[in-house]
Amino acid sequence: MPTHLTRRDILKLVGGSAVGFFFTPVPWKLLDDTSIWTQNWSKIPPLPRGERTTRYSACTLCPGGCAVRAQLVGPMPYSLRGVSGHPVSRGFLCAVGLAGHHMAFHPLRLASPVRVDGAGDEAKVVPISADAAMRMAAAKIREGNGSVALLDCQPGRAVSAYYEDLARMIENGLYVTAASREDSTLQALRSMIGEESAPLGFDFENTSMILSFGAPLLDGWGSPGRLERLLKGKPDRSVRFVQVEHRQSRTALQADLWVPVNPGGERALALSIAHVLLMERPGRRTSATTIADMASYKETVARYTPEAARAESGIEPALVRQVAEELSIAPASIVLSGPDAGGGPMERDTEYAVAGLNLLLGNVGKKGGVVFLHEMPGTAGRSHVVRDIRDVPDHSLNLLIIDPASSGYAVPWKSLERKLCPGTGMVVSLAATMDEIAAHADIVVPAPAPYESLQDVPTQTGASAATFGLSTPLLPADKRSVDPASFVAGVIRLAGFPLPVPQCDDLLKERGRMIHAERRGTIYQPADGSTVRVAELAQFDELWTKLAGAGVWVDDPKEQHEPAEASLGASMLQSRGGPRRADPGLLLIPYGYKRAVSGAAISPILSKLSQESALRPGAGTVALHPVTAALSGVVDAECVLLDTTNGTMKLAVRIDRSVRPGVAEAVAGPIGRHGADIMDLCDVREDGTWRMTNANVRKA
Amino acid sequence: MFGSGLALALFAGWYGFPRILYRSETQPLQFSHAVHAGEKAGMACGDCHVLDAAGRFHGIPGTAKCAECHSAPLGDSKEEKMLVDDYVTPSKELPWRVYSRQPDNAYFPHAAHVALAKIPCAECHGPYGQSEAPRVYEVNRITGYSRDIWGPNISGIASHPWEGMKMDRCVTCHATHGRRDGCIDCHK
Repeated sequence: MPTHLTRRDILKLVGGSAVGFFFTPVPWKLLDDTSIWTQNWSKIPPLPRGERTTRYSACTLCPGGCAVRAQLVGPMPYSLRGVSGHPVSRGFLCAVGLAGHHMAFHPLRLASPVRVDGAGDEAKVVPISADAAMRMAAAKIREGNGSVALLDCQPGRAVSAYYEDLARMIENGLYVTAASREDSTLQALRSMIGEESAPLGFDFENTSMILSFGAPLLDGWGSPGRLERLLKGKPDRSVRFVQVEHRQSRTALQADLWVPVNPGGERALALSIAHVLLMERPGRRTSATTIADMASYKETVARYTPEAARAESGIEPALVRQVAEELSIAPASIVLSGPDAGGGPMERDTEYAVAGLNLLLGNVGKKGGVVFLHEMPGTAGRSHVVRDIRDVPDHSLNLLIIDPASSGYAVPWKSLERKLCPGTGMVVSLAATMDEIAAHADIVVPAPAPYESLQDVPTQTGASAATFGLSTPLLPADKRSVDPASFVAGVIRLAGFPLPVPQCDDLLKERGRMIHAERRGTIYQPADGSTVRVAELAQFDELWTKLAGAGVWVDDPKEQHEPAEASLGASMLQSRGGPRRADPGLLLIPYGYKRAVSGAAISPILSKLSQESALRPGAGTVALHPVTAALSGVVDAECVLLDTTNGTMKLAVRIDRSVRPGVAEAVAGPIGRHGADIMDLCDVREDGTWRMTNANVRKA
Repeated sequence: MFGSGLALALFAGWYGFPRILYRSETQPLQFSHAVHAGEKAGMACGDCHVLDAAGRFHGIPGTAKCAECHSAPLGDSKEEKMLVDDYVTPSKELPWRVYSRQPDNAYFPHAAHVALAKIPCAECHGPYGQSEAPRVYEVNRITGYSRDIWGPNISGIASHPWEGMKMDRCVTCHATHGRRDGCIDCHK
């Protein structure tokens, strides 16, 4: 037997091993395991592990206040969804809300208070302490030059009332809201009927017809679940829904009738409908309300025959008469206007012209119309007519403090900048993430992210009964963030107004105590879907325990009565002469989707759902009618430059036949994480609107 | 020599390879399912492994669940003392190593399988409820997952229904029951 290995033996051994190798699990198992290994790289965050539990809370990303059922692994929420059967949100939770628990981990999350030195590309961000931020803001108040304003984009909360009281303490102190307000019609009606403290709502559930001027009723307006459940996808619905809008929005697409009014022509259309109701069909719908300025109102609308208004509104007289006829025979109707999430509010006189139709039709104080609500307990006598930032004189603010709560609507920096004292005005932004406004502020103070602190969810816009709920924390508080109410109180105390600094919980409990003392309404509990009357709860602690479990209090309905007297705002309607738009050429019209107008307000992980979906064209594109595109010499998907007097932006063209010729539609929101916003190109007019800007498109 | 090479490769592949691929780890506590689910304590699986009203599985119970009975040591065993002193008293969660843990991109609804299809726990998890102590946890050095996912036999051939929890098992079982599913039914 040979004892030495030859070269041939070694080759045979290797050959045998190689053949044998393929008859073992090694190659196949290694292939499988390697593919799984690629899913577990250290940069891919793993889900936490632990017991799974379910908790309830409410979304505060916008004032919609949708109820949330959260699933948690250990202390970490990993899934949010709506709560079916909830009396406010009716099971609805939007795509942005579904990822609300991501916001605490947003890459733009602020870690400490910062001071911004300089402007533009040379701006330097310097970390400072919260105390230093308070001292700087307090020094501005002590200077006494100009006014001090607190901007609250979610009015109606317990902290809002506190802000209002603080603003009153300071000389030249102002409590203001954002310009885009969903309750613009209710605001106008409060002034018209002279009851500024009257809480009003819309009785959509019992109405026969809704005539909406631009309000995105099926795109997040008010409590989104309410109108989604009532109007969306129901061909046999009992409500006739007419949408007046200059663009074919998602709401317009789902309306029974879309009235494609000219941009800025809503006022003329509303007045021509009033003309038909008053002059051509008098007495079809009667109102018990005495109109103080009816003579001058008639004088104004007399000029707005459907034929005369056609040039401004762009609507055929027959269609105007048809809508007016439908309104006049509808047993109950609601007429309202509303801002676009990106395009902003309508002109104040347009809001009045629309709101006045409700008084003409006798809709106010009637079932199925505009209804009176009971006062929110603890707010009796407090005016609901709150001035918005449009009403603040230009160049008058020495200090502007911005609360972190978002309205879900765009707030162009230009609309705030023009209110500041030139050169000296300071902006303090309380924000969880570095959003578009915070990026322009002088001082930015980190606020708690959604689900990190206890907050209240006040009555939603247009609700037919007052509600109150709590957004309970799902995440541990971030020690780096500062409670906004405590910060504002601290600033005002340092400015020389001694006052106790409240805890947010105390403000909320106080409101809860008021509700318990009134003993009205019911509390719904999402965990088991049960309801209990407040009157059956002997102790306040019982009520608070139910609210802390994300229960929601729903007030009882109020007995309705038509207001005895009202005005139609005739003097305001007379003030404008002709059509708002005189310049020919291309018109830039921004629009947006509620809650999705800021990149800092959306979870980056939602990009597939909310930022790149073909259903919701993303920022960075401009939509043109084929004729407009041909005249400009551009084609679909081509990169173009969009010029306005405010600058130039590079955008991709999207050819869309639904866009009006002569119009460039662009969606609000930043392009990329640090990109420019179409809002930067828009003109903010003296009346505080930014719906239309003259523009030009050219090849890049 | 060819035969020797063949035999060597087969031996290394079938005997040596699994021993290199898997690393053995012990569970933090020698928990006896037999004691808890047997006559002594008489508990049902669902007493600790909670399925809510909708059939959703709530994972391995937290220490708070143990504390319901074990707020103080029951008996004088070393394991009992460790449970109370190291986990229950400081409210610290037990770092259990989960044999059936799936990748995060695989979504397995217990509700559909247990509440709707009425599949018993042991059908997938085996007779684990009768064990005196947790088995040694063997972790795949490459993937980080338990050996139970592939199955005890390195060939991947299962001799019991509960051996192996790979996707082919899901697909085979669904096909047997006439279920046709798309990718996103399981992969979110």
